[in-house]
Amino acid sequence: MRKLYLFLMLMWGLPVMAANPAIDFMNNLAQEVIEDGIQGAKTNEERENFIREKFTTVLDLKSIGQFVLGSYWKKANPEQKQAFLDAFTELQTKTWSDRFGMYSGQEVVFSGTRNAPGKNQLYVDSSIPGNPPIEIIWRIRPKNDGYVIIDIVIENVSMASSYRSEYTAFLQQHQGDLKSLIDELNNKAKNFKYSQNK
Amino acid sequence: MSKIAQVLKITLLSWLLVGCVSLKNVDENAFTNENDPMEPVNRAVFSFNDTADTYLMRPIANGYRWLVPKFIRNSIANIFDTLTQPAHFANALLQGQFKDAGSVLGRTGVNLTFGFLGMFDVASQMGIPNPKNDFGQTLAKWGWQSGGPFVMLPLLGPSNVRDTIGLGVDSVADVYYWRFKHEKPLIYGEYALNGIQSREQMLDLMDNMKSSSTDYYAAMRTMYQQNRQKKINQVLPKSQETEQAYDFDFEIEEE
Repeated sequence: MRKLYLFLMLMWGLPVMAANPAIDFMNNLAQEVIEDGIQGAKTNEERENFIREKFTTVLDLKSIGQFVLGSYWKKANPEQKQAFLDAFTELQTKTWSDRFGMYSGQEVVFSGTRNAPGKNQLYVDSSIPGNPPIEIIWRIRPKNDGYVIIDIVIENVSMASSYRSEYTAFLQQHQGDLKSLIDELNNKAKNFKYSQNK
Repeated sequence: MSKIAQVLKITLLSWLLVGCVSLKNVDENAFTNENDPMEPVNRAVFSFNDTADTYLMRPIANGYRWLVPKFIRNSIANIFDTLTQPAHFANALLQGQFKDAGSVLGRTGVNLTFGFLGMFDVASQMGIPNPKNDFGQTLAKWGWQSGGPFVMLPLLGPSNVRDTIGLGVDSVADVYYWRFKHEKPLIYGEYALNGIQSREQMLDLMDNMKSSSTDYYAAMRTMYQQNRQKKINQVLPKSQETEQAYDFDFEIEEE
């Protein structure tokens, strides 16, 4: 009887022991974003401050910047790289602050992880229930004691791939002048118009 | 004139018109990566669309949002969704997607009865999927998986050659068109209301995209292409699915 009791306790404990740290990371992050960044933020400015702080800690900005600029990253000097990352982060902060404003508080359900191309990279699959449900895939990689996000794929649309395509098109039209792109990103961030969110 | 012919005629005419003024000093190799060999023409069409949207469609859609309460807008959107279901049903059958066909049949039956002639989407509340199979997917299932070059359609937006044909065929399966095809005001009224209500649903997202894009055309193009790949893969057997656009090597420089 005691053995059966121990066996049942072990079986009960298995899901806890088998908990996936990548899913835990995403669950905690999603909860924090919903509670503090969406429901807790009363104004666009409060939401922007929350997102700006999160972007610098949970996004692998350097890897993202390197990918979205492609060959232009290799040609850029350190000052240009930093200026690009600053401008990119500022515009993304406003873009996502606006998008979070459209979010009406639905739960994000994380369903599992799978390997992504590249060393130690993982996809974390999730969805927002609805008809049809919205599929979101988070591409993460380990860093320090946790994880950092390198791409977000919404309904098969990779943000990293989209920005790369967009910035490459912009640079092709501007003779590869990175300063033009940085100026445009700063200009877009400065004049960003929030949508009505109704 | 049939609806297919109308769509194709407008597309061809606009390409010819803008093509005459746009195909100068073109580096053809610059447009091959994004499967967009007609990029200069497409950009000109996009510029026309954007102007029409800025000065006509967007203000009307904003007015519609301001004037019409949300529950009525939802009902109008639901009715338009119900009207497209016969086309989705036919496509699901042509694709051999019998589960989707069953869902379409089920949701149409539920929404036409319990949803008061399609005004309320009771089917979604009951968890019945809304797969929206289209003829572009059908052509992909029949073997045209690449879809051909990217195309920016006048007023209708991003597409490719396969999906433009699909759009024309799907528009013929519009039950409202066949019921009222001899009463032009009713037909044009349906087009106008459908355009306005569709644009209203996209107001926030498109405003956000436009505010944040350094190249709005390129942003639209890549989003269409990536998202469309998902819809196409949904009807293909696993062995024929194309590699997911997001599944690339991130080329991370180790620190």
